[in-house]
Parts: sequence; C-alpha cells; structure tokens
Amino acid sequence: MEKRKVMVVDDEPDFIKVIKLNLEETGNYEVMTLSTAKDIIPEVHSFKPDVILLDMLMPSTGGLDACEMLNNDSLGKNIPIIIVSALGKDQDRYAAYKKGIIDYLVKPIENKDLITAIEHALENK
Amino acid sequence: MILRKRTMAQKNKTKEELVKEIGLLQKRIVELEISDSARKKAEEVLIFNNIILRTQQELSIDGILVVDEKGKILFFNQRFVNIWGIPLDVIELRSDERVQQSVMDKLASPEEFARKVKHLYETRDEICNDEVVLKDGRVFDRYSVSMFDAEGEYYGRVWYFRDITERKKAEEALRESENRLQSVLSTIQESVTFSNETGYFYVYNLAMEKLTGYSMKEANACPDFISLLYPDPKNRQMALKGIVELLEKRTSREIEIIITTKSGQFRNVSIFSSLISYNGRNLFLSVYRDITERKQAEEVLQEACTELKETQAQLIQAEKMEVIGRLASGVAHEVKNPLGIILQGVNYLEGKISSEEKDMFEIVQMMKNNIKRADNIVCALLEFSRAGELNLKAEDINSILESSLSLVRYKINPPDIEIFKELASDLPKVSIDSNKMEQVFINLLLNAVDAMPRGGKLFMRSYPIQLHDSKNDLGRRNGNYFKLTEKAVVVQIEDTGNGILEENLRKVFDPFFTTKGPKNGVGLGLAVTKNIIDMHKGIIDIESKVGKGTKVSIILRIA
Repeated sequence: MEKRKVMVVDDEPDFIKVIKLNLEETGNYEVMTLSTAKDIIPEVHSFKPDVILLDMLMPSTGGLDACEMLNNDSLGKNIPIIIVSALGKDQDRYAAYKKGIIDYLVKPIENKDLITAIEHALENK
Repeated sequence: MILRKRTMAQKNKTKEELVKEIGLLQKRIVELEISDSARKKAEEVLIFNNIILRTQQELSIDGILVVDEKGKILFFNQRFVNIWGIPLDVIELRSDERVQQSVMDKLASPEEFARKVKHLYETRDEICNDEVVLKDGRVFDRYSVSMFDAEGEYYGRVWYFRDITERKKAEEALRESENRLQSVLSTIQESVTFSNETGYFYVYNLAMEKLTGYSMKEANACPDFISLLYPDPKNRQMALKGIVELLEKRTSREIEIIITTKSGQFRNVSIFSSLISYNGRNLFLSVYRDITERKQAEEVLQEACTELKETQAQLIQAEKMEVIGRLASGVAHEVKNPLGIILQGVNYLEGKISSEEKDMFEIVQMMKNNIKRADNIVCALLEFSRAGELNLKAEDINSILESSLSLVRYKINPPDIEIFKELASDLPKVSIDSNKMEQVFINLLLNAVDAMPRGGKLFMRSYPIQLHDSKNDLGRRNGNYFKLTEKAVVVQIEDTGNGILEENLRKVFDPFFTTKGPKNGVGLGLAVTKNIIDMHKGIIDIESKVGKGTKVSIILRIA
C-alpha cells in the first residue's frame, strides 16, 4: 500500500520530530516537517502532501495565514488541513473552520486520535 | 343639848344595846374617815391633773383660746397672746370681741376673718380647720371646735392657732424645687423614672410618657408593667436579669433592650439604672434613651459595610478571575505545546514496549494520566479566559437542566443514587447563555454525585419566586443584582451527601480550592460556576451541613 504523505508545520522542533516518529512508526505515512509556514506553498508543490497538520500560532506566518495561502493556491486548496494547536478557544476553532479546514485538534493529543483524524481527512479528501 | 338628850336616852338602854350602838358608831367613824381621805385624794389628783393640763397648754406650740357661749374668754395661754401680739390690757378684759378687734389690723383679709368667726359661732356643729394669713406674711393654722357636755349642752368654742409660717415656707421651697425638677425632667429628652422594688413610679417624666405611650397613672395602675413593656419573653428576661444584677452588685449598669410601646411599636432603648438605698428600701433611678434611630443607622451602616465588603470581595474575586484568565490564556499555549510533545513522546514509547513489561507499561500509563491531568488544569483555566463572552437568549431552564443531566448520567455510577426532579411547569423563560448554564449545572451535578460515594438522593428543582426580604430569601448569597419584589426563577440542586465543613463553605468559590484530592479535582468547577452566575447577574447560594448534604440554589432573572 502506498504511503500517504503528511506535512507537519509547527514551530516546536520537538513536536514535529516526535510526530514524525509516531506517524512513520505506523508504516503508513511519509512525513515531511516544516518549522515555519512562511514557504509552505513551494514546499507543498514540492512534497505534494495528502494532508497537512498545521499549528495555529507560529512566528511570522500563523496557521490562519497559511490556510489563506493554501486556499489561494491551485494545489493547496484541495489538500485537507488539520489544525493541531495549543489554542482551544471557540473563536480560534471558528476562525479556522472558516478557512476551510477539515478538523481541529487541541494539544496534547494522543497519537491514535491524531491518526483517526488523519484517516478521516484522507477519506473525505 | 343633843348630847345631854342622848345621855338621858342612853341611861334608859341596856348595856348590850349600848355596846352595839358604840360598835355602830365606831364603824361610822371609820367610814367617815375613809370617805374624807378618798375625797382629799381625788382633790389632789384633780389639782395635779389641772397642773399637767395647764402646763401642757402653756407649753403647747399652739395658741389656745377658750370662749364661752356668751363670748367671755374662759381660758387662753401665753402662746396665744404672743403669736397674735395681744396687749395685756385687752386680754385681761376677757372679751372675745375685744380680742378680735385687736387683731383685725394684723390680718391680710380682716373681713373674711370676721365673717368666718361669726359663722363658726353661729354654726356650732361646724369644725373649722383652715389657714389665716397675716399682713406680715405669717400664716396661722386655725382649728376650732365647739364644746358640748354629755347632755349636748353648748359651752362655747375652743380655738387653736399655730404659726406655720416656716413650714409653709419650707413647703413652698419644696414645691418650687419639685417644680424646677419637674420642669427639668419634662424638658430633657431622656426618659427618667424613679421607682421602688414593686415597680411603683415616683417619677415618670413626659419623655417617658412619649417613649412608652403609657402615662404614669397607667404605669402605676398596671400590676405587671414589666410584662406590658416587655411582652417578648427574651426582652423581659433581660430586663429582670438587669434588676437582679443591680440588686446583687449594687453598681450602676446600662443595658440595651427592646420595649414595646402602647401602640405596639418596637423601640430600641438604652437604660441606665442606678440603685439608691433610702431608709432601708431599694429605689431605682432609670434613664431611658431611645436609640432606635441610632440602631437603625447602625444596621444601615452594617448593611452598607457588608455590602461594601461583598462588593470588595467581588472585585477582588473578579480581579483574581481576570488575572487568572489572562494568565491562563497566555500560559495555556506555552503549557499545552510541551504537553503535546510529551504525550506524543509517551505514545512513541508506548508502542515500543511489549505488554509483558508490566512495570514499564504501568509507568507509561501513569505518565499519560498525569499529562491528561495537567491538560485538565489548563483547560479549566482557559474557561476563565472565555468567561467574558455571553450569548444571552430567552431559554427554558428545565430543558437545560434535563440536557445537563443527560450529559452526566454516565458519571452517576452508584446505582443507589436516586434522582428526584421537581421542575415547575410553565416557568417563565430566563435570560441565559445556554452553553454556560449547562456547564454550571454539569459542575453542580457532578459535585453532588461526588459527594455521595455510597449513594443518596439527588434533587433537581426549579420554581418561580418573588423576592421579598433580601436577607431571608436564601441562606448565604454573594452579590445581589435583584430588586425586592422582582420575579425570578430558582434552580436548586441538592444532595444528601457528605456536606461541606463550615470553614470550607467560605472557600468553595475560590479558584483551586478542592476537597476532592488532586486526582479528582482541579478546584475550578465552582469558581467557574460562580463566575458564570455572576456574569448572568444571578445569585448563587450554598447551604450545607456535614453528614446531611448540600443544597445549591441559583436565582436567575426572567427574560
């Protein structure tokens, strides 16, 4: 079975490292990590992810800005986005859903729940 | 001649007859001697009595004049002559008329005097006791009575005159003094009484009449004035205790007490009492001061003070909440990120250990549980940062109670928790944020369940209310946004669980206060609950008794 491509964008290096380890450990995913969303468009074009895990609060380009950039991109607009953030307020969720994200997960999150969300996103791609 | 005749007759008598006659004569002589002695003795007694009587009359403080039926002076004493200043040549005339004439110019009202004397001589049955005022200011007490013998025959009149000028002056001075005292007592605002142990009032001033509504006459006529003044047994007991202590300790004391006036009003009074011993009797001097207005002012001040303290507490609480909210909001992101990393790390390790390595497995589970716990704290803290946003709508409180109950049903593990729903139908809608109110009810229901680990009864109530006395509607309340007589809806959640200790009851709304232990409680549930109710401008009140249970009441305004 072909591995599904997951792009993880988060400014926490430890987080992207451990996420990558956990997802790749399943043998089902190929994971690419980015510590900033600044260059997300060329990276998306290069990696062509099936799903993007995106943090909300990041320096320079935040999660919502990244969503906006992806929505304005011909390739990016068709990739499901799952927000994985420490922010859990309703207004944050609401703002993110308005950008067309498919799911919103609040840290800390169990790996199994993350995988369930990724699979759900892939099914509804 | 007679003796010679007897001798001749005796010659013709027998010896026995003569002896007998001699015996009779001797007896007669003895009788005559005794009679003579008794008479002499009676005369002596009479003379002696006359001396005593005369001495008494002379020494009497009264001037005495005895006048016979023809106006002749039968007797007068020196005192009479002296007090009236009657010349010797006049009195020696022994004429009542002349004596009267000699005193006329001394009298303040001579015509009246003459008229009265004439009237008394004409009206023999009349006894006179009056006063005669002289021009020089002296006052004589006059007493006169007619003299009759056993057969009722009239013998004249006796007159007594006593100079009572000094006594009258003393009486006048006393009267003036009393008048001054009365005017002082009637002027002062304090109510003053002077009474004996039986409750009889000698002094009972105007202020006391105004204070109690009872006059002195009414107070003295009442056999149990204390019960009238203090119909409430508690106050009566206090009053009586005060009297007993005053009698025992004999020192002045002051008590604050409530009296009931004649019109049935309650007045707060301060009574200052002193005990005065007079001729072996205990007398009470009491000063009553009406302190009702002061008490009312104190109560208002106390209420204002309490309100101020409550407002201050609310401000502190609000400030605390705001700080926690801001802190939580800022910290949440910083804490949740590392928690996310740790959890993912633990998940990684979890996949690396086999199920045989039980200790390792257990430790990993422990780590996961504690990550969850830390996350719960952060989540609860975040509730504060969200507290400022309300989405108010007119809602049916019963349906929110029902939905909240359905959300916690899974937690109601003890099978012997019985749920009693007493929800009033046709309740007016309330203006609330349904999500937040649901959170409130969930918190309260979970607390109630946690308080009954061995089962019990859980009551959910809702009913309409019209607020009456702000003090008595509910036991303990924090803040009060309602007006008296305003209609509202009450929701109650009551359990029959462990109850809350009195010392903890004050802290239950404090953030991070919990009695559930670190594993089961963060200590923010009731703090969030209170915050939400405050935001709704509602009232939350907790009543609890250890071992009996806890009742939480919430008052919400009608939409």
